Amino acid sequence: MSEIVGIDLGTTNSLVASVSGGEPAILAPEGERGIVPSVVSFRSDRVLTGDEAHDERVSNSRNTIFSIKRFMGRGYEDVKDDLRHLPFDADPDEPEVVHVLAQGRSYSAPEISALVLRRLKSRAEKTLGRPVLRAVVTVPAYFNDAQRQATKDAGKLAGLEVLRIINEPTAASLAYGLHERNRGVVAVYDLGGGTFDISLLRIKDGVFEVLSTGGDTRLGGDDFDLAISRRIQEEVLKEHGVDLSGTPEALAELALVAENVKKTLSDSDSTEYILENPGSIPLTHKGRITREEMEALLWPIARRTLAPCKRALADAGLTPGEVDEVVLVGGSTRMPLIRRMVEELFQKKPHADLDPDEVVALGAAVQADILAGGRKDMLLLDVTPLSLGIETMGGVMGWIIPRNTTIPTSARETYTTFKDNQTGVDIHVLQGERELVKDNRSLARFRLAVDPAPAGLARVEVTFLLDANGILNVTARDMRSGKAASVEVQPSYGLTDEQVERMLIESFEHAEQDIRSRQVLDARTEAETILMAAARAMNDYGEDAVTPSERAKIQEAVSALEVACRGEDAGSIRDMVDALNEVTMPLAERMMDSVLKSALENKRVSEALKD
Amino acid sequence: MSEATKEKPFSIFNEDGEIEAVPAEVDHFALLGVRRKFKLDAETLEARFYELNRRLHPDFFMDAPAAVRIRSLDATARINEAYQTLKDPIARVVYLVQLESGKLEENERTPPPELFEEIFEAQEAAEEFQCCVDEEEAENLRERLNAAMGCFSALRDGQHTALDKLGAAWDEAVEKEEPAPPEVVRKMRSILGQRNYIENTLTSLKRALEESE
Repeated sequence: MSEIVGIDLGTTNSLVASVSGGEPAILAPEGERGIVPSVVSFRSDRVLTGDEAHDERVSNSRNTIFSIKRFMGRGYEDVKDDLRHLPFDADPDEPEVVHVLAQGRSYSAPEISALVLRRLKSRAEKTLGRPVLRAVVTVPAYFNDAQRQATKDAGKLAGLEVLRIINEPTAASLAYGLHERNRGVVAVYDLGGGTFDISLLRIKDGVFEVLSTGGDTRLGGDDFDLAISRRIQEEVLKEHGVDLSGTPEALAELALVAENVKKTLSDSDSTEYILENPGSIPLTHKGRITREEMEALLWPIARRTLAPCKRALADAGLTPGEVDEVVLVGGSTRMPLIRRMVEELFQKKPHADLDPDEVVALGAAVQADILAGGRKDMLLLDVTPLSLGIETMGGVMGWIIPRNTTIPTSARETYTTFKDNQTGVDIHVLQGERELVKDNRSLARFRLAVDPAPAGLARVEVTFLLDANGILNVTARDMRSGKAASVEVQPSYGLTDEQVERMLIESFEHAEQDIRSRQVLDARTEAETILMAAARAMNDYGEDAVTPSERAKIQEAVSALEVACRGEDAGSIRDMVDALNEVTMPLAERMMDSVLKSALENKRVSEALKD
Repeated sequence: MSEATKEKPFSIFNEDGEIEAVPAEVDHFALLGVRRKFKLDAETLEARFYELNRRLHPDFFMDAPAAVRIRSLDATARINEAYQTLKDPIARVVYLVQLESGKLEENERTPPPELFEEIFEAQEAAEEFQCCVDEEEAENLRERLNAAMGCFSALRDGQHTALDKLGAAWDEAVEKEEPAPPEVVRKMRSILGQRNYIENTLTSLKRALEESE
């Protein structure tokens, strides 16, 4: 089985991890940090990702895309307001799937995410020395179907098969619960860069059963930064009479200053900040803010996390006192304001033993290990965060799967026709908790094909299946014939399969490069195996079984292969592998003979081979 | 005719321990391997649920042939649905009664005549209260709403007590391998038919009071 890695694809930062020897670890090349900023920067000649892209946020602000996760699975209208605060633009001609504009080209949100994923994939391959083709990717628990699907699409575009989408807070609980089989009821409070989740779980005998979940997919550290940035903008307007809000470059600079202020005030009581010629506007602004002032400013945002917590408790039928442990996840939980608020709500001190930035990726790696069959004593039972329903007469929601139902789960509905010779039935599927269709999130429209018949005669049973990823699958069966009926799917906010295919073809150049680097990795792995075998054989049989001229030939072939391995040409690595194979052949034969001889001397072959 | 007498053990696994396709007609009780009773032990149910998930969950079949993966997914979905229904006492009794005596139709849920007026008044008071601006009037309405809350909560508690009693009679029959007494089934249907009205009224009263806080 090929490697399965765990990926935390975050709003601000992303990480990749894998399990080795039963323990999850963040994958990073030596000397580099584990975090990869979820930033993509388009230059005229090339595309940068991670730290290199993050460095361009000010100098190339219009073409440097960050916080793309906020746009996943959304349409242009949904994000218009957010765009006013961001230095880059979205394409108004793409209403259904947000496309951002960079260097005059338009990129869908999954394409941008795919570039971040590609970076993670290649760093995992470099660290592990093996090709990585499959992954578990985390999403906020409160992500809807379209947002999950968009994440899966991003994986596909990055050349990764996303074996499972898991929820971030539940991933975190896997990392926390790894060594204790019973932890009782655990609340995971996860406030990241752009999203907030609360999940309540019961951990018993290695089963992690999610009881309820709640959240807000548009609430996170970004919002705190924005509030601080706005305060500084007001100061600049008052003191210098300059409005920075129309200058993307200045806003990009300000966003970094604001983030810095926020982070500093997690440890200090007050801090100073300086803006020098923001966005090339000639002015110098100095300011000062205390933690108390900042908390007063951010409290209205922070308290928005309380209502989802209370609702999740009510849904699980629990009081705050019945929660045994509280776990903090996400960079924003480093803020003392958040820690105090959580402690007050649950009446106990929250845990933060594991790095809140790393814990989600570590948990994703644990889930990857479960899927790979490496760990059989743990099982995660997650829930769907939102109720699933269909449009009924008068634009009213008809619920079919309530929120917080354990997934996978399914529901069946029977449909018939109202008119004679009707050839299709339209079904509109939505997610949300509101009574009226218009207040909920449209997922997709389906058209069921039925054979022409008098009204009311057709009977089609439709099965709505939410799989273990929380993604909807719809199948239909004609109840009279028992045959599968066709279902045409039109996602409301998302890429169709054809669009994903097209993007894959467009990224063919990258793909080719990918295949090449994968071949190099494969060849190197093979080379390492044979180099090791040759070294062992020389050591074990060297003195008496190998002539000096053979020894020289083998040594030569070994050096040639080592040189080839340092290069990037899979073909020449393979050639050198073959060459080494050839010169070691006589030696291998002699080894085999000796093994057989020992076997004849009543020694078991397996033992002889071990010697 | 009673369905209860038709209970027979069902296993998702064949002799070789492989997952079989679950026929549509297998009910939640049979699926989880518990008897078709009103009262169920929550711990036993949970243990069965965990045990089956440990054997069926798609996580453990990632590299299995497609047909096996589909059976694992379908079976797990069925187990989850069954557990979701049976672990909740009300959902369970609704399911049990429907299994025994057919679907509870919409028209069975006519507002109970003796409650009709009270329900109407409570809903009206809730609506008035939500758009009331006069403080004294609001205080008046709040009192009325609280009184109505008390009245409907008592009704609900009464329903639960009655269901418990009927359920005990039902389970007694099951123990004796007898069909549930028709009188018991009829009474349960009637209580469940009224239940939605009481629940909905309580929900709107609660919402109205909460929003004013």
